[in-house]
Amino acid sequence: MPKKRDDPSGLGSLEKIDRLIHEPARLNIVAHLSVVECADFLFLLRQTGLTRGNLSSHLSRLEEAGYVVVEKKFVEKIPRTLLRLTNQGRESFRSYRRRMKKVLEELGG
Amino acid sequence: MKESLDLNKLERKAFVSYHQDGLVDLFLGALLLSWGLTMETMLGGMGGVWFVVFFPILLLARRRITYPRLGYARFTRDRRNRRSLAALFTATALLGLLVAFLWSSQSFPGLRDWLHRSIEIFFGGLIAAVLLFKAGISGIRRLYLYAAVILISFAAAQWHTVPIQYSFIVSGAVILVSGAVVLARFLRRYPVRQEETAHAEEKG
Repeated sequence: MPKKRDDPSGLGSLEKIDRLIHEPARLNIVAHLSVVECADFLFLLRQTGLTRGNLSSHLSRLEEAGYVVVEKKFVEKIPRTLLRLTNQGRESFRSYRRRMKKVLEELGG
Repeated sequence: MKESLDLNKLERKAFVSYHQDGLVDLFLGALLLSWGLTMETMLGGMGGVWFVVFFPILLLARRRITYPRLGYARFTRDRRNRRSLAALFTATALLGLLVAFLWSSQSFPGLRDWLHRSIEIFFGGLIAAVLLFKAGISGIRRLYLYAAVILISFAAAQWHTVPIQYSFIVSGAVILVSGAVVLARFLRRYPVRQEETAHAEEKG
């Protein structure tokens, strides 16, 4: 049956999982950014527990994908470089959560 | 939904860790202590001035102490909290107006006499209620303890007919000391690492 060939595992939702977000370190970053309006690098470093190099490289990946945007702003008269989830990033994270939930349901978990 | 609960937990954890610097405690303690001392020197009406004095210091301290150690974040929770606090302050202001009216009015002698007799409890209850509310929405648990300290010190003043300013002084001093301990712990736990701050600024 063609459907079986296309989806041999029977877990169709798994194929649609966003692999960029699914990586644990990036999921950690995106989850933290999703609960704030914006944050700087040091905040994410403290909250995620990642190393500087790791955080930096994962942020670059997320920025390239258009999930995270870097903004330079004056906050309380001090220039700060702030990271923010874009609308696309928020939407991708929402659908990632939806799909993961579906996958886990399909697995009977 | 489980995942939304988990995100709430994550948000709360980040928010609470961000407020483990003890600065709000120091602000509250200094405010109550100064207010009590000002009342003791018969300048009770000057109490509100301390808020204007201490609030910019709180903001400056946060900029100098918290941000270099924990980084900067703007929480969506802050926005929700501000809305709730605005509602609370409006309710408190209306209650204050009602009390002022009852205090001076001749229309309700029974209520007025009760208010004159129980002013310490009323004040303590009001401040404790604000702290309980703030503790509930922010998740900062030590605020519950401060609410209890305030309520007990004001109730004790009522029962032992001690002037109300001593309740302000005692509860302010307790909260100030607690804030100093929390701050010291925070400074030890999160030392400033120049390279991290520099990198944060450079990379974002």
